[in-house]
Amino acid sequence: MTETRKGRRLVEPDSRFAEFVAERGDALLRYGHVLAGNPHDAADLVQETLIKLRGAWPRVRAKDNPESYARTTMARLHIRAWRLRRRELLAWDLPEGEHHDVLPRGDEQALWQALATLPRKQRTVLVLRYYEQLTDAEIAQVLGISRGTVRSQASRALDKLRAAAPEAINPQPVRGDAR
Amino acid sequence: MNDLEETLRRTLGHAAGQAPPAPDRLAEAVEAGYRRRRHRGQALLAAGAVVLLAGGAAIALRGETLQTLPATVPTETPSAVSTTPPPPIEQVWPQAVRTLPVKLPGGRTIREIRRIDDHTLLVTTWSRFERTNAVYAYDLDTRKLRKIADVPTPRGTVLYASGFEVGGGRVLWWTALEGGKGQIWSAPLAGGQAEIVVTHPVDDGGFDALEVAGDRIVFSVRAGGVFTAPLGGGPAEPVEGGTGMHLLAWPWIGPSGGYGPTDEPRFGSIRNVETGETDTAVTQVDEKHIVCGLTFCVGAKPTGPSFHRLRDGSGEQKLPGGMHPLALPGRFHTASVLGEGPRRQGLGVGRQVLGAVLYDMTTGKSADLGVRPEDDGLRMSYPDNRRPLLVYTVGDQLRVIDLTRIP
Repeated sequence: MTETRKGRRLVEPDSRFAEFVAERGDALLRYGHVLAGNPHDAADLVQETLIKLRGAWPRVRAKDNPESYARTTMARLHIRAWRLRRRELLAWDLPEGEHHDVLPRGDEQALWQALATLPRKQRTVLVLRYYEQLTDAEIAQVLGISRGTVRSQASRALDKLRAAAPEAINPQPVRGDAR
Repeated sequence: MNDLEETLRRTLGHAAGQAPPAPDRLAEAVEAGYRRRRHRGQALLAAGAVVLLAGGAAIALRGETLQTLPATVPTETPSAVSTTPPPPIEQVWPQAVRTLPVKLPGGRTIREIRRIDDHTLLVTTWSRFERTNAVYAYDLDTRKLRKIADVPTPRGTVLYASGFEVGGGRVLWWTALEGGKGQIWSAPLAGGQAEIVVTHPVDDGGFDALEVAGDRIVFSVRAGGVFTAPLGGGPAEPVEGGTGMHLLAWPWIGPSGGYGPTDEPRFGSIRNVETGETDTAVTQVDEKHIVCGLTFCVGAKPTGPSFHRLRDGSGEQKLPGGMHPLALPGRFHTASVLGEGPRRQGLGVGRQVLGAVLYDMTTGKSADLGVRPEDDGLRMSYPDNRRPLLVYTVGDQLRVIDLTRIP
C-alpha cells in the first residue's frame, strides 16, 4: 500500500520496521563503531543505512534478511563515504564529553589506534573477517569485489597493523605479572 | 589464528562494546529522515569540504528557552548560560548570506559548490549517484549558469571526480582508475575541455589535498607524500621534505594529516617548505583528538569537554557542541541545536536536533543558521581554509554562507 505525493512513492510505515530498529539499533551501532572507528561516523552510518532500509523495507522483509541487508549496506556505504566526504547532520545527538576510545588493555588500545590509519577498504575487510567472522568468499560478496582482492587487502592491512602496533603481536601481560 | 589476528578479534569485540547506545527515538528519527528525502526528491547536497557536524550538545531548547548546555557559548555574554537564541544570520552577517535554488534550470540538482569570487560560485551536477558529469559557473547576481566543462568518467574509474578546487584561472579535480592510478584533471574557468594534467599513484584513499600555488599544482596523497607539478601539466615531482607528509595549506605541510592516527595531534607540527620555518602547536599531556589548522587547534580535555585555541596555546575557549574529529579547525565553528526529548538515564542521546548555530570564535558573535528539522538541509559542509563556504538547504533554497565576507 502506498500513497503518492509529488509523484514519488512513499512506502507506508510498518510497525515491524520500528521494532527492528528498536531491537537491532544498538547492535548496528556497535558494528558501525568498529567499522568507522568513532561514534560520530558510526551514528552517521547507521542513520543513513536505516533510512535506506526504511525505503526498501517491504522488499527486504519479503525476500532478504533485514539485518544482513543493513550490515551489507553499512560496509558498502562506509567504503564509499570517503569519496564524497560529506556528512548529514545527525537526527540525534551523541553524549557530550564521553570518549569511547580507551580500551582496557594496552595492546588493544595500540591496535585500535593503528586501525585508524588503514584505508577504509582494508579496515572494512578486517572488520568483516574478525568482527563479523565472515569467510573471504562472503566478504567478497558483501563488498562486491573478488576473493583475490579480499585476500590482498586483508594481508596488506595486517602487515600495516603489525608494523604500527608491534605490541599487539606479543601482547603484554594482562595485569600483575609484569616485572 | 596468530597473535595479531587474535588480538584484533578481541580488540574489535571490546571496542564494539564501547559504542554509545541507540537513542530511544531512533525509529522516529529514521522515519522523519525517510519522509523528508522522499518529499524533497533526494535533493541532497554533496557538501564539499572536509565534513560536517555530528557534534555534541551546544544548546538545548527547553520549552521556549534556548539554553546553552553544557558548554559556554563564547559570546560577549559573561554568563555561562545564554537564555535567548542567537539572532538569525541574515541579521548578524547579511553580507555573507547568498541563496540559490536547489534545482538548476532544466531540473538538475546542484551537488558541490565552491567559491570562485564574490559573485560567482562553481557548481557541479551528477549524471548518476556520485558521478559528476559537468562543472558550471553560477552568477549570484544574474542567477545565470555557464557551463565550464564536461567532467568525463573514463572506463575503469573507481574513485569518481572529487576534490574540486579553483585557482590560477583553472578548475581542478581528481579521479582514480583501478590499480591505483590517480589522475588530476584541469579545465579553464573560462570554459573548455577538461584534460588530465597529472597522473600519480594513489591508494584506496586517493588524494587528500589539492591546491594551486602560483603556476604549480600542489597535492598530497592519503598514503602520505607531497608533490608538485606544472599547472599546465607535466610530471609530478616530490616536494623536498615532503615524503610521507600531507599538505595543510601551501606552503605548510605536516606529518600527521587529516586522516592520520588520532593519538598524535593532526597537523600539530607543520613546516613551511618555502622558508623551512616550523611550528609545533602547544598541547598538554592527556589532551586527545587534537586537530590543528594554520591558526587554531581543537581537541578534547582528559575530562571530556572540547576546546578551541590558538596554535601557541593562548585564547583557549570551550568549543560549543564539541568537535568533529575530521574537521580542520578555523575561526568559525558550527554546532547543533538540540531539543529535549526522552533520553536514557545519564546520557545525552535521544534529544532531537532542531537547528544549527554558526559561531565566530574570534569575535564571540553567533548566529542562527535557520536550519530546521523539516528541512532537507540538515546536510551541511564544514568550512576550512581552502573552502570558506558553508552550504545547506532551507526549504527550496540552497543557502551559501561566504565566510570570507564576514569582517
